[in-house]
Amino acid sequence: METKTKKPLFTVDKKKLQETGLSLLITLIALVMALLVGAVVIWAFGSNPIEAYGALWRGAFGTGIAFIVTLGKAVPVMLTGLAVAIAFRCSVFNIGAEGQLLIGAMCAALVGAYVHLPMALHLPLTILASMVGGMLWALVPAALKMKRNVNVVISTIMFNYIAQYLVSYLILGPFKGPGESPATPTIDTTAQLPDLLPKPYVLNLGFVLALVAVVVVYIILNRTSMGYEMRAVGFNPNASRVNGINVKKNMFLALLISGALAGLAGGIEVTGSLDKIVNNFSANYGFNGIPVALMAHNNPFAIIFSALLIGAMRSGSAMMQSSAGISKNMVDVIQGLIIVFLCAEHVIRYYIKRMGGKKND
Amino acid sequence: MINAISYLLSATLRMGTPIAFTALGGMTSERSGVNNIGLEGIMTASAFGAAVGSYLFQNAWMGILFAIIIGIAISAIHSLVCITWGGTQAVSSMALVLLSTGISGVGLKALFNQQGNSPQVPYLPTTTPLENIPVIGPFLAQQSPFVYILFIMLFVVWYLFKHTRLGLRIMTVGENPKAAETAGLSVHRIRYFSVIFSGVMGGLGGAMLSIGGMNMFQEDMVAGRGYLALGAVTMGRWNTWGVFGSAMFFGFFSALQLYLQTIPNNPVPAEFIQMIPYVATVIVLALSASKENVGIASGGQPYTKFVQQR
Amino acid sequence: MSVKYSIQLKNITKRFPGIVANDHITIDVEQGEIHTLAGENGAGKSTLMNIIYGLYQPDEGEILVNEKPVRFSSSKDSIAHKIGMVHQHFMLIPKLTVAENIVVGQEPGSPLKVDRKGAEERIRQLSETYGLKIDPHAKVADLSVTEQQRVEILKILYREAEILIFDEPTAVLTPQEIDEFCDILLGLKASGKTILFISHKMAEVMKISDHITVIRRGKVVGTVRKDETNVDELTRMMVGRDVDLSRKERKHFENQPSLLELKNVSYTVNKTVKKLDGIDLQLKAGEVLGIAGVDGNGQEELVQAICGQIVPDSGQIVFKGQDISRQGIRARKDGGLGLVPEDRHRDGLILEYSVADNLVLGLHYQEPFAHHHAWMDFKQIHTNAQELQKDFDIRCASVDVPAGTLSGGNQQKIIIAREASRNPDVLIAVQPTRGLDIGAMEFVQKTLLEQRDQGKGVLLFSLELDEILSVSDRIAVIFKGKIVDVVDAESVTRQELGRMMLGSGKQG
Repeated sequence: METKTKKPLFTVDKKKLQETGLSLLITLIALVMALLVGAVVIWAFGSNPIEAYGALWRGAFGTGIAFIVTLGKAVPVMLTGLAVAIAFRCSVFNIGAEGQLLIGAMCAALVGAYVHLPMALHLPLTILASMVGGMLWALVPAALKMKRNVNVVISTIMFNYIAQYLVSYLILGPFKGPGESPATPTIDTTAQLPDLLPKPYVLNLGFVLALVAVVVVYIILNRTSMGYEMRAVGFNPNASRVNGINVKKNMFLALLISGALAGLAGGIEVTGSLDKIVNNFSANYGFNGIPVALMAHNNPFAIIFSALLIGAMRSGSAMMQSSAGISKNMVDVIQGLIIVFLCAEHVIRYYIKRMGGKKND
Repeated sequence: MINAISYLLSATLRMGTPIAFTALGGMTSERSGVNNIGLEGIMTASAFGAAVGSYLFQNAWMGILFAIIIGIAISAIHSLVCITWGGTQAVSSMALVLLSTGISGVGLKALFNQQGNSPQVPYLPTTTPLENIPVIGPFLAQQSPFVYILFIMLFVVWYLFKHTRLGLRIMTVGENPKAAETAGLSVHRIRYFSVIFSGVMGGLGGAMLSIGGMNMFQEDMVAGRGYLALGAVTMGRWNTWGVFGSAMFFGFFSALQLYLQTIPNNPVPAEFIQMIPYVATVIVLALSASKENVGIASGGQPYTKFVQQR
Repeated sequence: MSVKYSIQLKNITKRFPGIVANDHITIDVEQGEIHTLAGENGAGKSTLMNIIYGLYQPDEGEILVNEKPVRFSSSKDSIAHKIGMVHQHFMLIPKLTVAENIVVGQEPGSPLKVDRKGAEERIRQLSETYGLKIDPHAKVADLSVTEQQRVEILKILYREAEILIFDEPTAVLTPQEIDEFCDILLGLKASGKTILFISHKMAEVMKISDHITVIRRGKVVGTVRKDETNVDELTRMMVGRDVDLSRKERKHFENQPSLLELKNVSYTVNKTVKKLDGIDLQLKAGEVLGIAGVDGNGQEELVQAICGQIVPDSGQIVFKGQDISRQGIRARKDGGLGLVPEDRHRDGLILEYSVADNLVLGLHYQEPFAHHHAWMDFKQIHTNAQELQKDFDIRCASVDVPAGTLSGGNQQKIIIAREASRNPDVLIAVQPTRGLDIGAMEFVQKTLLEQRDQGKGVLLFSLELDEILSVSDRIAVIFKGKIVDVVDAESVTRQELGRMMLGSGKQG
């Protein structure tokens, strides 16, 4: 009598599909709104929005080389996006990705320059060092949250600045490399990430590492009991606790993993392209992780695309500045606007539902 | 020795004033239940706005007016997102930071065709005429008019919460918005006022940086002071004097760092002195956060009106 | 002399998604009377009161105040019509003073200077006039529950309200306090106020009401004069049938070992308020032990202490012969404690998770649902869900839909199914039938009895005496954090239980 239906691992559920479609629609609406308002801003500052956006597009995707640069620029924000997202899923808002990235990069720079090993050991060790560094920088805010219930938002912000001053001290003082400018010594070639493509294309193994990180985060969140617990805590900490899930421990772990991912972003920057740490090298990769995660609704695979979008903005902004005359800071404005409109999610959902409801009547 | 103390005192006031302005505004907003960790953004945009206003009219007071208008505009976005749309306050705040840094960069290029900083603009000079007052005169003369505006605003904020109707209502809304609504108050309207007031104060704080302490806007000139203001609100326990004191405490470390740079054989690297306010904020949070009854009861929570609740 | 009406509701209808909270409700409240609105939990009383107070807008129908139609878009409008409401959950700000709490929104003095002195003076006058003793200068945080209630009443009197709404004001009061409170209401009535009083406690309803309107499932069952009715009739109207007080059949387990034992367990909050005061309790295998009591007498803390959500200050909790007082929540649950929590949305379910995922919440890290405590096995989770769905008749489109999309009864079934599937030695059920329809209610009670018949211990917390009486084998009565007495369910009457719940012994 019982029919044995074999259930595939990935079930395609109509409701789930609908929900995914809705999330995508909301992101697209927010993006379009942000670009429209951005166009008004560009116009108000005396440039031609169509020209500016056209230049931005050409800068990011216009040539094969540009496209590859975009892929490269997407790497750090993909990782910081993942960092923000995994913490978010456990209802921890990690604004400290920037600081964790700095410390991760610092650790990679030190291991890369001062430890000498064959590449097979040196490169993994350097990458690992960056992850450990980022994790350690998240450890204090995470522990303070667990033990003393200190607001993570504030503590991680403060740790960004502490990291910034610490790194600035280290590259001026104890670890200042040769030469005039404040920077660490160049790392050994054995610690440098190999390129994926021949010149003039610039793309290194970091891109693959970032994609691996996406899969790993997906598996952690959706295939392990740890991920099940983290998401449960994110949705409903009370019910999680009553049913035997250790809420504080999960938040602690989520923030540590988040720190490791941000640290990895820094490590890949150092081993992949910078080869050393100079002042202010990060340029807000950590903060950019926030729009990346939000646009993807904290879904790891969707982060690949939102990171590409932000990466495209970063790589196309120079072209926009030179040919349309609007400052490349315009992409920050657009990112801010995207976040603003994503915050209107409830409102957008409400209107979509109402329109959908009318159709059904 | 006397010189050192006088220098430190004067520099503390100078460095603490922008933080104090912003922190008092942030306190007002937080007491109504809306957190704004994006004060940094408000300060950046209004520091830029002040330079623009001062440049366009060749008058520093117009710069202040511009800064306040920009502060109001940015905080209005925060109000719209957090109060009307019910968005996450921390997330919206980060949008403010991105928007503000972006707009000032775009504006620098578009208006002055420059990057990194604006050209020199008229600034508010120190109050030299006060020099003739005996004993304290020379000290007063070193101070920017912003310091005196701060003391006026300090009194205003204190009086607001101590005596006025609005102050009582802000506290009620922040502690229990439902109770406020059942008492016939408009939670949203009071929160809008409070957040926008924090924009005005952040505007003054930003203006002090570009046309009080200097005579131009520089891209990174806020350098975390907005976040320090946030720390000062928490450290000062949402109390007017406590917040003011904390802001000055942070100002002192900036002053100390400036002072140490002037003496030869400086024993402590400047970076460590600069770290102190941030470390202090974390320590203060760690020492007090787990206690109950700390903070604003409804802080950070968007409020949906009864009528809209399902 | 013709009767004047203070409030008239004509065909008030209010719909929420999936439910009609108020269905064409018509009530006339005479001026100067105490009109009681009675009905079970979830009957729609609070929604109706919030409509009268302007917090909700009705979808249909009309409100008349003093025989003139009105339209309220916020509480501001109702306040202007001299309507005041004391909410079930007090609307007070602990950090502010009594005077500040009372006047906010209508502060005396100028906008620039609130006249605090004048406010305190006015409040002193009011409190003398109505016999509501309070220190206007005190901080609300330092007040007792009854004092806070007085502040709430003064708040509406200060606004010169003539029509006073009280939403279940006695739920948080002890019996003595209820008596005092009834006197206050009668005093207010004597001074000419009209009172709308919500309650489902028959004793106080019969004591003070002039008219009683009974609401069931959003509809008016009827309005009666107090002198023309009795408790039985009212109860029948509220529940919709003669209450089946017959006891369910019991198996008898003689000399069973004690499964769970609490020894002198105490718990204090804020160093002063004793929530649990030396609790001694024994639960044996094969019995349902009902815990009866007025809401807020320590039931919540007792559950939390047993399940490890709070750590008692002193005392021992012995489970199957082992002291578990220091164990964490998960260890206790894995050791054989099942819990059906009071608030299923807050504590029972992850509404965003699928039915299947919710059915393993708490078991998710163990075999067979996870291997090596790490890798989830979704096939097993799915199979498990389908089995439980069938056994417990959980009605949903598929076990993959979010739990939040199910009806209340089916959500409760998810929790019961999950906890029963843990095969616990002791099952703790807190208000397990609250807000459920009759069908779901009977299913839940049947499941509890099945667990008992399998030789397990069931601890049933309920505020409904009928439920306690019909399901329990023994009944423990809790009052102010103490167990007043433990009695055999077959030899105790409602009246006796009622007296014990008010703190006096069985003989009382």
